[in-house]
Amino acid sequence: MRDALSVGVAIAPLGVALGAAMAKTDVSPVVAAVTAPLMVAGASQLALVTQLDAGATTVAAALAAVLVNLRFVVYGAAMSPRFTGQPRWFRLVGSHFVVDQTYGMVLAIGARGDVDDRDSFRHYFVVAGGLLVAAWSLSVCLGVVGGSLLPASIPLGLVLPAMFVGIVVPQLSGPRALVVAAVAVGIAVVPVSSNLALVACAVAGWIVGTLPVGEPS
Amino acid sequence: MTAYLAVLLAAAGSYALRMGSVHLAGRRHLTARVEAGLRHAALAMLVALAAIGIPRSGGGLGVTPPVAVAVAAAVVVAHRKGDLVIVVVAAMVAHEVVRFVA
Repeated sequence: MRDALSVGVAIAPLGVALGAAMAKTDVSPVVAAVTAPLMVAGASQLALVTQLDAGATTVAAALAAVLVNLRFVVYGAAMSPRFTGQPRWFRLVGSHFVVDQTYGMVLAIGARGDVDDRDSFRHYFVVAGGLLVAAWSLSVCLGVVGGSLLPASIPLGLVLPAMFVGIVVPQLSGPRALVVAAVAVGIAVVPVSSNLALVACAVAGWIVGTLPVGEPS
Repeated sequence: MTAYLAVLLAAAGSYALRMGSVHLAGRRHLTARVEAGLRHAALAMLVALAAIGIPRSGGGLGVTPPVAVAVAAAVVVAHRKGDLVIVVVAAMVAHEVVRFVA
């Protein structure tokens, strides 16, 4: 409970800023608000709304938003032992709570050796995930509704790149990750469709990430 | 209407990624190569989104000094394992400071 409350308090300002940034687009505020409980992924939500605002097709915008969440596959795979042997309802509901913050929380309880048995993990994850989704949804809605009350001098256009920088930079450990980042920046600054650039980056990232170079034989 | 459909598609796709990985990984172990591919593909996407999202003046690569400093500040704070909120606030503060000084 304490973990979830502290994370919930920490993400609230980001949710408000994200909501305010989405409210600045021409996309309906209701659409922007419902992304929070349905998607529970700030970067993906903003990617979807900005793509729609830029005139992308429905499928292209949705695809860009889903591709941003590819990292959840790694999170889900890492957390799957905790879900094995759990009731079906928990596996269905709990999957929705697999996000950056809950992944971090599960890593932390693993390191501490807490919440070891299945029942206590299920209780922990439902409470933590539920509180997190509630706090996130509420703060995003507040930002969407009250974003216009924020001073115009606040550079909300920086929320998106700064948020991605905050997620990406800690992952840039090792030469392979740095090469992937450099290639992605090189592709992204080429003046082509952002959808095309995102798909090209995903493909390039996969190729560089799986190249058998620099691996011990 | 199409915007709602996009939200539903994105939500369904994101849920499928989460649930699929939780369920399938429990039954079948991901190879190290597939895991590395997924991790680096997601990383490249996030880097691209950061680069695409940087506000530019007049199109092209034109980035104003306040924006450049804001991005640099975000990188430095993130590198020091700063919390996401602190990274965003640092970028905004740096932007406003440079804008005020200039």
